[in-house]
Amino acid sequence: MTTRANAQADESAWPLLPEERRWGAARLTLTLATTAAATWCYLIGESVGSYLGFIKGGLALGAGCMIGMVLVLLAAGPTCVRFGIDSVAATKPQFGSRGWVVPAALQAVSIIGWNSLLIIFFAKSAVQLSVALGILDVGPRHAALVPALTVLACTIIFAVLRRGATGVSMVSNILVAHVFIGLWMLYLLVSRRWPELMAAQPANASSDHLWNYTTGIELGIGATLSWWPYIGAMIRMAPNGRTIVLPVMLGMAAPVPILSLIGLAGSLVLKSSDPTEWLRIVGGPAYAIVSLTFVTAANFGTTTAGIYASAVGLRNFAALQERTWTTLLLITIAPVALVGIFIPELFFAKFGNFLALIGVAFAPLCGIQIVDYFVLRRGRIDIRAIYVDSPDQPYYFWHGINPAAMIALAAGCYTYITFLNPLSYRSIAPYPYLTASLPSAAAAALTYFLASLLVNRAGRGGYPRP
Amino acid sequence: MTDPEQSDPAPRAPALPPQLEERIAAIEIAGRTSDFDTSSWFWMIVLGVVIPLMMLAVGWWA
Repeated sequence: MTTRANAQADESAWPLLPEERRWGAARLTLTLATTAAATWCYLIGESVGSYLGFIKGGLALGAGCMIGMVLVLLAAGPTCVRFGIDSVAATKPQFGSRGWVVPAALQAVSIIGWNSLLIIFFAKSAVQLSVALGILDVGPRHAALVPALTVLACTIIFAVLRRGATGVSMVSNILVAHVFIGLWMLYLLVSRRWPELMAAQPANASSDHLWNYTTGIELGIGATLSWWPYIGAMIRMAPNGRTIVLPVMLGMAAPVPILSLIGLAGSLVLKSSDPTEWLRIVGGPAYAIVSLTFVTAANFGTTTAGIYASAVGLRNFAALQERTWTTLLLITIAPVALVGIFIPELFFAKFGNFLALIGVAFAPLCGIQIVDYFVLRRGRIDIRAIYVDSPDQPYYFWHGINPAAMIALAAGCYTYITFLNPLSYRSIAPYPYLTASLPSAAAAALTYFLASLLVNRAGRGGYPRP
Repeated sequence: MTDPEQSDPAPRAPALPPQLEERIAAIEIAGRTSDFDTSSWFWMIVLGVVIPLMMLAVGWWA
């Protein structure tokens, strides 16, 4: 393998060789923590604060995040870390050598959605920071600066990601400090407003306490399931499974609920999840500046990782394999920039629904991958078949598509919507006992298992014989 | 009469880019690598199941 090939490896969707996978636990933890900690934490916290108080909400959200993360780790982790491939490539044994475009589309929609939201926050925070520092005057015309700053942020991200995964790691090393600033902000609010925090009542709590509690858990599971598109591109840089478990569980799953407590506390006590607003109330303008710096840094780091993961995912398309990394980055960043420029407010308004829709898609996907890897294939993956789209390869199924995975995905999504309508939040009787994501994953896994027995009987899929 | 080559085209695997072929060959030669070892499973069960269940129990009774 030439040096040139090694340098380009992390810019492709090709499997990484052991000598190219040099990220240790510390580097992976830093990168994952920087990726996980962003403005969405406030929004998640605010959503939980609508139904639960501080202690109950924090614990329900924390438990949900850890449960969701272990599902993602079990689904994408084994294949990604064994072969050094990304999340999308790891779905080919289940969805087929052409059917993988379905999870690829889910990944693209998810990352573009999240990153658009974060980049808008980034731009708004930068404007507010400039006003707070006296660089800009106070005035309504600053709304026009948001699109300009969106473009600027996208340009910086583009420049950073020209270096591939090294760029992501470099940004993480610098920006990880914001996680500690976030913890300090949490300490500030909790220490100064503890009595009010304990007395605060959630605004939209149902009369059914179990329903409220389960919704807190469900929001945590849904939030971490949204890491499925990101995780493969990061953990494939690590050499083995042992290296990834603690970084993923502690670096990626833990910061989300901890930093979400900022939004949870703010929404309960001060009726605002935006720390910029309440830090000014609690500590004056100097604290607001610190908070704005935090928000700006946090969103920039996460968006950088998201764009990188999305670009690697797009590499799986044959038409994009030969394109330059620069072209691929431009294709990935353009939709984010366009959303940030033209429809920023729509994304803000629809965040709750968006979060729920994420759970609808990714819970069944995780269920399918887990049963495929651990039960049906018992860990036997054909790496060549992942990259060869040909009828003589096991993952070709029928015309490159595995109907079992498609049916199972539909069954999982239907189960989720039946248990909890993500738009109206209407639920059925078992929801408070089971959540919606877990039955959705289980229904998809069971459907996939049963349908795969027929696929196996037809001699497709390359499943090992008992 | 139809041309047998037209009616029954033999499926042929598309050629992979040489560098990808090299990578796959290297991975195939290296043999099966492991995913999660005992220690990984231990931490996944502790952090993904045991601690969340404890948190839920504490939260419910809080």
